[in-house]
Amino acid sequence: MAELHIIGQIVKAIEFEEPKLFCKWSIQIGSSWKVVEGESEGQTVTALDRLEESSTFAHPIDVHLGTRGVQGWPKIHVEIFAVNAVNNSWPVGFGFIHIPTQPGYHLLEINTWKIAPYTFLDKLRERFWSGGYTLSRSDLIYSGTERYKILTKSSGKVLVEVMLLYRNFAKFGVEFK
Amino acid sequence: MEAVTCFHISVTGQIEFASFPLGPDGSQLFVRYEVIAGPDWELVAGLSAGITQCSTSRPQDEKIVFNMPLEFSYKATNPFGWPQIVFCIYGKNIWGVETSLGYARIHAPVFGMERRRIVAPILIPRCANTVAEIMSWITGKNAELRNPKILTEGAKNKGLQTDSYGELTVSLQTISRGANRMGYDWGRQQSAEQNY
Repeated sequence: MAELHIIGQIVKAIEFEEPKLFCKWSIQIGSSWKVVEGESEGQTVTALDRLEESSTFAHPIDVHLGTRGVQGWPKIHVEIFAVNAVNNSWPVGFGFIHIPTQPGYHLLEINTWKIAPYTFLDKLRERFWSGGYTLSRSDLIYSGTERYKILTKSSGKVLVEVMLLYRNFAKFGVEFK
Repeated sequence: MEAVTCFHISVTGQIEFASFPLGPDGSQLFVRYEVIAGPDWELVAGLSAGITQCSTSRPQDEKIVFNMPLEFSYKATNPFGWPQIVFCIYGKNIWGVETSLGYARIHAPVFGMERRRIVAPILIPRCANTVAEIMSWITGKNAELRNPKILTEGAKNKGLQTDSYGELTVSLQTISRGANRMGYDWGRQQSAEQNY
């Protein structure tokens, strides 16, 4: 079995309108992959920056994956939530990115989107940071099906840093081009 | 030929300096560091913890220089649990009392054959309630983490609220032995300068 180590961190979320954010993340893999060791999902601290419009998480990721085939290549899925003064939280950014198919250090940038406010009241709620819509199924974020006619709005960026270490891929004839 | 079951890594470098864009919240800053690695990692040489001197910046310059050496070697069977370093920053507040000024966490570089500068953001935990916040404002003592190691375990910091202010610059390089023979592909080496 070929192995992949993902070592890195969710660095920060930038360019979001809301100041106080946290991130729920998971690593999504196909059926021929399995998680051998490590946490493949989690939630970061709720972070705020004193000066800039960014939220620094510095959240560690250390996952050991095993695989029998390259189909269902792993991806990182993130959901950014905003927290307001009365500790209500609602999602303000959904995104995913595939793990690079190259060993080494990578700084990944995930551009995110959120559900657009539809009625005037929704727009008002968004304006005053008191809630927003969520998705009933989070697999819409990382699979391309059933996205037709979802009204969305672009949101901020999430920076993820990964160091990838592959083992025995060459033994099974898999090449990194 | 005997089967290769473990590899060694040796990390060397230094805590260069801390910097705060509007000046630090205290004076005479010092950093306590601790290296935390997974369960099957074994320290074979060097120090896994240490404390720097108490340093102050020059008036025209925001850098607080430590120039503190970091040197450790580990032996492991598997890269899972790759060493992480937790930095706890302390300083004296206006009442002359030592208090926490935040925490930083980094992974030791995996691809650090070339000397690499890592900029670690400093996170300051926020008080859990308003009363604690007022007390913290009067006494000048900030909230502290009882166990800073939770920062290295992704599953345990859910619900913690933090402020980020300032950064710690650390330069580290890694050299390994025996990992290629175990079938690990380290790819082509590239210099990775962090610039976010």
